[in-house]
Amino acid sequence: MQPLEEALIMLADRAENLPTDVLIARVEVELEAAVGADRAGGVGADGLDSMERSPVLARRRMARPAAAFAVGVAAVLAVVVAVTLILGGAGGEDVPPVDMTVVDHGLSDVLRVSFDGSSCTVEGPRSISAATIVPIVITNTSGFEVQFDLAVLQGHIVTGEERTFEDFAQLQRAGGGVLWDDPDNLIESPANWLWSEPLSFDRDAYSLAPTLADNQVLKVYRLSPETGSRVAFVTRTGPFDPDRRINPEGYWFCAPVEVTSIEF
Amino acid sequence: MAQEVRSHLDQSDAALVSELYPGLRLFASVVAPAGEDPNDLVQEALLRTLRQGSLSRLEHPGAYLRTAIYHVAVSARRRWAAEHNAVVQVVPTPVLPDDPWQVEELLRLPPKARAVLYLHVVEGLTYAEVGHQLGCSAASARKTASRATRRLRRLMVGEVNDATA
Repeated sequence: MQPLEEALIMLADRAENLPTDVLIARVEVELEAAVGADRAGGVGADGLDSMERSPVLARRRMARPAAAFAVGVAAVLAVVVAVTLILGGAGGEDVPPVDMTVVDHGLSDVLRVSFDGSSCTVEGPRSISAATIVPIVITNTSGFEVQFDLAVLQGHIVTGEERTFEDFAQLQRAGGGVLWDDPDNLIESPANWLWSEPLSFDRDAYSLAPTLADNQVLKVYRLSPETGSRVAFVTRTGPFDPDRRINPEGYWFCAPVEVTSIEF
Repeated sequence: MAQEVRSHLDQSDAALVSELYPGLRLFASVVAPAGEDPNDLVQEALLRTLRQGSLSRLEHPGAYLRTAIYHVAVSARRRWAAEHNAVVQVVPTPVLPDDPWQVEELLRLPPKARAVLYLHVVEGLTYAEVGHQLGCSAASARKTASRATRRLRRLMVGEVNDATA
């Protein structure tokens, strides 16, 4: 057995092995409490609203009134934009409404994106400028993870304004901003802050590394459900490996990106 | 669509939970963030899923529940980070004194990296299958594994310093 595999197995075996009847009883207690809260108009026998008890339930409840409408609309309207919702991150069987707000950390333009169950509409300016200090922040307040196939941000690097990663990170700290685009990828090294899972280059359109930095197309594949999730328009370049994945060992840099369009 | 809310598991659900629990516990232990009991992750994932209906409605309940566990783990970690206004702070995963050093290094990886490595190395899933379970592309899973193994190698030879120090 390889050391890595052995270590992973040891890691996996750390938790206490509960008797399954205990686990089932715990789940049933939670289910019952939630049902009780629903039947009592939101307050359970323990005095806690189910929303207080579980942030997951809270998000679902907030979405409920509009959900029926959204589902009805979805049934009769053609899907204008291919949007897949992953309910609670664990499936896509419900189609809850989505109300996303795209902001730039409160300093300038605001884009409001709403989703009625079948299509997204964008209100507000269609052209936004990325600030040099505070990044554009897209905050998904829907409570649901949203996966896009088509969301595209088109823009170009403001040439002459490139910054090293260290400079950029310093600016972020100075501005009080939280710069992460995929918090589950936050690890010890600051160099990993900008690992851009939600924003990915359209590598088919830009297969040559040197062209990536200019007029790039950024595709938004996913917005996580947490209000604290943010994405920053940053860029990176570097040598490509043979199958055109960006080589993480490549050179990184950051620069303001002038966003010329946003399409959902 | 949301199913009628129910408060008790039927027999088939209970049997399925019993059958799936050992594997779910292992996976939850791999992805659990600091301060989270893996069994709580399993419980929350079951709760989320059962609120929507019986497990029997799912084609692959085990995979579905693991996906749910992963997302619960990620959400818990994000909540922690948001509450602590993290900029450079890193979630300190507690390391037990008797952890061998390889486990200690694994615990320094984010949940996604641990999940990818576990599913690929231990369970033998392809990167496409891993990506399907974690809600990312095969390329992203491969990239995560590549970065994680490279980082582990560095950690093991002491090339990476703790940026929070």
